[in-house]
Amino acid sequence: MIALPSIAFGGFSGSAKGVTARYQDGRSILSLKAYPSGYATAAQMVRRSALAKISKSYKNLSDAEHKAWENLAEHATGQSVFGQKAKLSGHNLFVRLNSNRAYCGQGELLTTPPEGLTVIPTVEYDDFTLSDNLILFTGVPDPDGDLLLVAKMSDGQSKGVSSGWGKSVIISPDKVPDWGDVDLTDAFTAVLGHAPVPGEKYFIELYWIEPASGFTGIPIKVSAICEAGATPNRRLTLDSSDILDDDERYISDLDVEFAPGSTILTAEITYDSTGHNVQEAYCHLPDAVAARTPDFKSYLLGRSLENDKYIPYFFAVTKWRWGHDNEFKIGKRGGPWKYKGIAFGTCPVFEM
Amino acid sequence: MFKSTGNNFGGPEITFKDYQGEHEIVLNAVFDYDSTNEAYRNARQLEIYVPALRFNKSAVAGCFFAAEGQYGPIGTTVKTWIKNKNTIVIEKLTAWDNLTNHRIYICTMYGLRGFRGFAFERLKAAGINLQMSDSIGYPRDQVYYVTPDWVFLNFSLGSPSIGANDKICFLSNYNGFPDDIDALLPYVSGYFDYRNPGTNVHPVRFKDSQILITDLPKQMGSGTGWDSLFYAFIVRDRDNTPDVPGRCLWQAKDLIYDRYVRIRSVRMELSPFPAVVYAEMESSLSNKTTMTYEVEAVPDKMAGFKAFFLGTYTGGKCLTIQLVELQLVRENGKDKFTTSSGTGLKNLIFQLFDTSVAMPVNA
Repeated sequence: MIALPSIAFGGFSGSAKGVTARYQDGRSILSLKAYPSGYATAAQMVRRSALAKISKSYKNLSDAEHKAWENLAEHATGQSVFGQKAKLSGHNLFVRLNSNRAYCGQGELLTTPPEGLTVIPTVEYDDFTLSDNLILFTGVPDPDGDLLLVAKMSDGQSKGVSSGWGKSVIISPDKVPDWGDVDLTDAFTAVLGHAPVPGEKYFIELYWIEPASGFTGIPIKVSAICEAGATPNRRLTLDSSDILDDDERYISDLDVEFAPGSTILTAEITYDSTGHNVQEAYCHLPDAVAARTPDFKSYLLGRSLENDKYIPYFFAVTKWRWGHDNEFKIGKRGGPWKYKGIAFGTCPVFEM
Repeated sequence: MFKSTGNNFGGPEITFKDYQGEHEIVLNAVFDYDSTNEAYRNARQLEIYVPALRFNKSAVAGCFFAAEGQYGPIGTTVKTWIKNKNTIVIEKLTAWDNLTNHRIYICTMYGLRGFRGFAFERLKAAGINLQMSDSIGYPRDQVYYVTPDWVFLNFSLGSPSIGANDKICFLSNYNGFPDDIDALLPYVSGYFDYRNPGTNVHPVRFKDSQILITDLPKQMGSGTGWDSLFYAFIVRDRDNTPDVPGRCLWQAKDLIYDRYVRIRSVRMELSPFPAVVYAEMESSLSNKTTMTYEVEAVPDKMAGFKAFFLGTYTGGKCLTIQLVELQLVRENGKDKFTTSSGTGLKNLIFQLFDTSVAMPVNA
């Protein structure tokens, strides 16, 4: 932006070819039209395309609605409702809240402002890993209320850069912590097209957003140099991606996790044992996956699926070495056996 | 025990028996509701509002649903989870909405996720040997695990014989089930009604160390392969109130030293000043002089102590006095309870109820 004394351009205003002249505070100001630079994430594209539309729609509001927005904006001034202290007009507030909502997929425009200001908490976490194969925050507590986590991240910068948050883009607008974990690995790769590079410095911002109102919390800012091949202390799980894709896969969906307290298994399993005439469903696990736990037995509830009339069962769940295979099996108890069903529940694990 | 504060399906106030540990919550409750009421019809899932639970949320667990059909209750298993500290959710299935009276049995363990770096410990199920009236089918699976606070029991039986319909059937354990359980629980009998989905989910009473099965439906179908099953986490009725107000109470059951040795029950009340401890205890046979047990759920305010008690030796035919030293040591977050024979025979098999002076051990 170029500011010039009024002698040359006093009273001159208007736009021509991307240059805008305006007169403000005794000075004429020439400004060039700004174009977004760098990466545009899907979330940002949504926001940019929505911004003009949202901004224009403010004009269509009634006088009462304008007044309500102005009133709320007065109270918003100086409040940490957008992560920064700022004076806001009613128009500013309208655009901010509605564009934030657009990020989170809230299609409908807020024409009347939220009833009051909402103070959104700051994101907390216990630990953070940044490597070429993992970007993970752990120990992120669930917030009170329906909030989503927005993650912004820069591409790799040189080690000497001390502040690169201005280069960050939204890589994930709507994350929900998975039992304290916020894993940004896939989101980063999807947006920036490559994995983090060891030795380069990355800048990350995290903040909560309330989709219903569009209010956001104060961002936390983190920077770190990417390490090579982190081997984090992983959660003890077995999931569908762990199943060997062989011709004896009768478990279609596997979601098992273990917790301490005389190890407790929690699980949701979907099976389809069509063509396998034994009253059980099983799959095989690679050696590396099977090595995560010793052999065990546990017990879950379950039922056949709707068309087979919800027949209730309990299942003996076993993970063991059977011949050359590492077998994960759910054996039906109760009856009669239907080929398709689900097993679910929480139970301690027992010795075989 | 606690009561619900509300729900979103027009149900009644619900009384829960509970055990709320660091890593597991066990809840027992049975309640009925009317499926024709508007609140139920509008509910996407059944939500029960409760006073603050120990967990903020839980992983998915399971419970039982039954609707009252023409020939008896019929239903299936449904998912349940803790949504937040004040809300328990139960999956809503609409396949029985043509039947008015619905019932939920919560006999459920709720667990957590998201842990790292812990030792994988497998439990050893307790010995069980079901004895039953001859009308009930042959047992296929029997798993039994007992803690001082809750019991896990599941078994599957062959389909019940027709003769079971007219009898009061019972199931018990040769080794004895706990006598501090009184619960209404679901028994999936294996009977079915072809006009409705699911199978018979029949109420049974677990009381006085046995499971009573009465009034099995007479007009439902049965057949080969329609086995019955029982699966429940059951909260024990522990009285945690000290006999003397102001004392600190610790009690435990079935502390196991090795295969044959156990303390069947122990109840201790410690008065901090003057330092007096009251103890009730029953121990099985041991050939060791001293045995130490790692124990749990000792109240924080109970200090470590040691004290001598007189008990009755129950291993012989004559009355013999046994001097026993009991010691509770609390160090590094672990609590150890030690019994030692003071005089006389080494075989510690005794009953005691005595009051003694408590001496410090953790000083």
